[in-house]
Amino acid sequence: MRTRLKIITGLAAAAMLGLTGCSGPGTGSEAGGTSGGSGDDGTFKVAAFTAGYATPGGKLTLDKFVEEGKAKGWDVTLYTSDFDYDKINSDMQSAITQGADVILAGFPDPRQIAPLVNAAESADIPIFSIDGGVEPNEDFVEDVTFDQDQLASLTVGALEEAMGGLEGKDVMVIGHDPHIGIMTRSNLAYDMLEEAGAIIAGGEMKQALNPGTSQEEALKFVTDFLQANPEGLDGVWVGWDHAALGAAQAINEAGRDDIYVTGVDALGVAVEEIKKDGPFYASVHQDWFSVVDVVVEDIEAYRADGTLPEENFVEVEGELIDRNNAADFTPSM
Amino acid sequence: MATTETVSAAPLPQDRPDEARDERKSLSQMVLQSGTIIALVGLIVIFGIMSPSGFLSLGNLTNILAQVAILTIIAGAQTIVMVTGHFDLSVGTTATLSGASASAFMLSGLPVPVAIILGLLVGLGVGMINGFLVAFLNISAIVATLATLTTVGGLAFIVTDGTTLYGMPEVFYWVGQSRIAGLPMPVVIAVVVALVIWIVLKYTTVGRRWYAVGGNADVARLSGVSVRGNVFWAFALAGLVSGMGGIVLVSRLSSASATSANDYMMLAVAAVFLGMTLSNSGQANLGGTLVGVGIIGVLQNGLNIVGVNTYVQQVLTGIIIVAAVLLSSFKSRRA
Amino acid sequence: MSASTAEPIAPPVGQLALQATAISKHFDGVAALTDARLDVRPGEIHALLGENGAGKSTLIKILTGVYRPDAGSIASDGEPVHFAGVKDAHQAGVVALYQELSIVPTISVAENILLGERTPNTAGLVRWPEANREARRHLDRLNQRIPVRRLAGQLSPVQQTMVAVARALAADARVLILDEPTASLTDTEIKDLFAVLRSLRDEGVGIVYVSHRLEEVFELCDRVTIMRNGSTISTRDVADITIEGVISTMVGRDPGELFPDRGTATDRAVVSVESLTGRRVQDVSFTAHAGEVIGIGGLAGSGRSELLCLLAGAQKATGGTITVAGRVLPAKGDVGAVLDAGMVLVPEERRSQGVSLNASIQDNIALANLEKVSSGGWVSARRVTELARRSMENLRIKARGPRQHVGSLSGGNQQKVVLAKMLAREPHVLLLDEPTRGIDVGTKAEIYRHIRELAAQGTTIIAVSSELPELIGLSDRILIMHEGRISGQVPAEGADEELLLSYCYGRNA
Repeated sequence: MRTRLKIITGLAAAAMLGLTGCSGPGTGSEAGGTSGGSGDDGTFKVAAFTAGYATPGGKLTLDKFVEEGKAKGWDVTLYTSDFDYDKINSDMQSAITQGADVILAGFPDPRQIAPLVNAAESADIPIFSIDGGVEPNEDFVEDVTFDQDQLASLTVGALEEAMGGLEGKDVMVIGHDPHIGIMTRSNLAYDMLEEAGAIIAGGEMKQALNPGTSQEEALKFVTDFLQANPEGLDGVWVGWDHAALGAAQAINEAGRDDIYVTGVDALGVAVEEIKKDGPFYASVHQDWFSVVDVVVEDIEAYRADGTLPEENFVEVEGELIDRNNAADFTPSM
Repeated sequence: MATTETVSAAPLPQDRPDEARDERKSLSQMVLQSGTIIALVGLIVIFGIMSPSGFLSLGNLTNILAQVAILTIIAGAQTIVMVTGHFDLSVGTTATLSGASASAFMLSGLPVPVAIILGLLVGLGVGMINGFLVAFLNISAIVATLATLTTVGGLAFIVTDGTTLYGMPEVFYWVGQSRIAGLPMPVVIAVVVALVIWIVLKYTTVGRRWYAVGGNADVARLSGVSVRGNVFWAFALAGLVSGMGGIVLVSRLSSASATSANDYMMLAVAAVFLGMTLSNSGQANLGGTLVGVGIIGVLQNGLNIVGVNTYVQQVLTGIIIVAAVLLSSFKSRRA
Repeated sequence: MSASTAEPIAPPVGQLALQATAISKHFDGVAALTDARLDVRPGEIHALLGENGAGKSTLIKILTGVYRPDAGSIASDGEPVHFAGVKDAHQAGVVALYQELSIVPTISVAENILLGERTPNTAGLVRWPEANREARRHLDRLNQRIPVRRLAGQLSPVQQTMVAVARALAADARVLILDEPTASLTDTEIKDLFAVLRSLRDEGVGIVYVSHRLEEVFELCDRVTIMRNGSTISTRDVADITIEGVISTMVGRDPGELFPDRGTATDRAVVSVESLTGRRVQDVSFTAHAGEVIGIGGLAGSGRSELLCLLAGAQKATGGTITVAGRVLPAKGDVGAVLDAGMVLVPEERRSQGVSLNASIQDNIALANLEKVSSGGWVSARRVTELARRSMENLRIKARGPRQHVGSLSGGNQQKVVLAKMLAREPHVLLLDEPTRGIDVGTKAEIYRHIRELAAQGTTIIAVSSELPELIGLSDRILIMHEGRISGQVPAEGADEELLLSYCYGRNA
């Protein structure tokens, strides 16, 4: 696992050069005394937080951010919680009082961070964000995220390819509304499927209750649905790989080879499944390390001379992982 | 001195000379009083009517059994502790940690049986810590196991590195994914575990002492029962059994996440509570727990088959549990 | 008085089953026992007497290995022993039965009897048929026919006590210690228990009998040891001492009159009950007057407690009326309306119904009288303490202060807190259920005096008691119930216990 991590880091570093090399440390003019730059004691304090440290992606991404930030010589503190925004808000408010220069919001739910946004605003501290929603948000000076529309169309496209069309096909959609990214792409996929003439199995989107146990939940959804409707399922569109794994397992256990599943995240374990040419047909790789690189460079630019990013909403694209390229793909999670 | 000596000694109370009849009565009372069993039968009937082909098929019966297998194991662990009058909030995270540890050991190259044994020892260890805190340091079980729940939950994140562990040796999946005579292996394991716990609780001196301690710890202590030792080993065994549940779950899913079995705690507690309504004495008992597990399993499966939204399922599950318990309390009050 | 103190303890006769010498024990620096002595011969029933707090319980716990003594020695059959725990004492054949800790209610009778490593088993597997047979054998020895597979919690109190005695037999007890075994038993049940104890004595078991009911002691016991302030004062043959002598030795002074003078009753009717019918109560009618103390007696199950529940509004009446000070109470059982009418109940089970043991004296009193200590929804801490101090003075509650936890008080003082709670409401009518159960003689006298003082102030008192001497001594008028009906009604002054008992059994009615 460690060696894998090192390889990823290397790849990400390479990607960084390619993607963001142009926006490296600039030579822009010194900004005014108040904005940007380091705090009084000379160290540049970054207060990073995530409520999703309990998810693999959240942890890896934020750990990577901390690592890169420290490499730049910043004083990075990471505040985490298990989806407890009360804790996050109060932690961040005290971080602001203690003289943070920049805030990094990792996978924040923009609906739940108003207290810390207000505190940052009054202290005149910019908030950079990774995956802070699906549309431009004035709370952030920059929010880098994946284009949910693209993620949805990639996976729906893959499912269409697997099932041989969408018209008249029965497709189950499994989402998780508390997660804003999953919610957005699930709804987009739902609409795309319906528009293309697919029939939504069960008449509505299935909701998993807890991401941590969603593999088992999805396993039960699909098993139970197949019990009741053995002929009523052609595909399962799932908003994230964990649950997609459960759905694929249910199909395997039911002894079916005519039902396909797609997920998002390209978890290692999911890629292994895709390689087997079984029901797990495709997933999407979101290269969070490249997102980290973008954000780290922009924060560094701000540190140097107070330059804020030009766009406050940056959308990057995911890469479809399916049978064709799974063998060559090295998952990061 | 005027005393009560003047009254001629009254005859000894001749109550219920027929012991056998008394036992039969309590048995029939048990069946009649059990709103919980009525609830289970009621649920089966309702789902059977709503989806005769889907719900009442043999395939779905096996399916339900497979779905409740792990809950059965973890609820069995909870039953052991609740027999002694305590509570274990950490059964879910203990299961998670055991499963994750066993997976990590396998991934580090240890042979599968060794990794499984080490995983079980992790569960046993957590149980022993719980038992030590409760029995010897006199910390209330709720507080002690709430603390271990949190700590053990954190350890599970450390063991998994926050990610999902996968790629264990194929032979390990035999535990959770193979079948014996058409029955999924987790079901076979759950049946064996339940049988063993039932025998321990009903037919061993250890189990009977646990009931004595749970009924009235002071009387047990004054009668020469080592209350501390018994509580300690009950928690320890519960930890071991929880760990077993976690390992079966990981094998079933081929992957170990940092929170995979955590939610089982609430369901296990609910199952044991439902089961307690089935005993005359109101104590936890394995037979009752199995009925409780059955209600939860049938409910989740049935609602899925009928196509009820998961949010509504949550709400209904709570309501039906309360309704079942209420039903039994009405019955017993009238009896 | 001088005759009963500093008297030499009788020298041992033959081999003693159990001998405790010069036992002392301190808790947190406070002496509970200073010079406690007790010797028990095989085949005797030996009463251990003393006021609450005299150290009886501590001594028993030392004799049974629950506590270890600071100093002193214990010998069993002449051999010195050191009990490190209950198990050691059991092995030496010393077994105690505690008043409130006799059985585990949620397990079977057989299991209760064989509790403590005595269940027959093969490699830990219980041999149930044999276990049940063995339990039955022990019950047979006591001449008891109790179904051994039934849950012990479903038995009557006397059966529970018998099960506990059977457990002691199963442990091969040679010294059996009983702590207040008759507290919740009716007279018939007490007879049964005594018969059993006598037959055990005749088999050579040494029995230590702790009780506040001195009549019982004189009826049952052979010798008596009296403790006061943590020391053993005297051991005598029962034949050589009188009840008055026992009391004066216990309290260290002359007991005075246990019961205060009567004569406070007036003609003004306060409570009138007409054809009251409810669960276990059939067509009961009576009138109680201001300043009158009415005693209600009867066997357990006669409906005496249920009548009190009906009056207190804790149960629903199916017929008849209750009128208090001209107000007819609702039949459906409305505790609030009863309280509004100025009638309060002091329940029997003080631990479960009367007081919160974990709370302080002042909180216990304040919680029942919130309107007295608050204004506009705000509780005044000053008034809470004041109210408690007043009540403590009135009832002479012995405590360090109003903040002391009720659980750490003696039983008598706990009962006084229960009374104080209710009296702070200044009721017109006081309903008392077993007002002196498990309380020592000194405190009993105080409670009787206080009840009579309340009557003198015009309060009407209706008291249920299972002790006939208490009914006779305390009341102005006695109603006896039998199978839900009033089977007899007599003035208390000069009432004859025999007559009352025959009413209890429904004869002469």
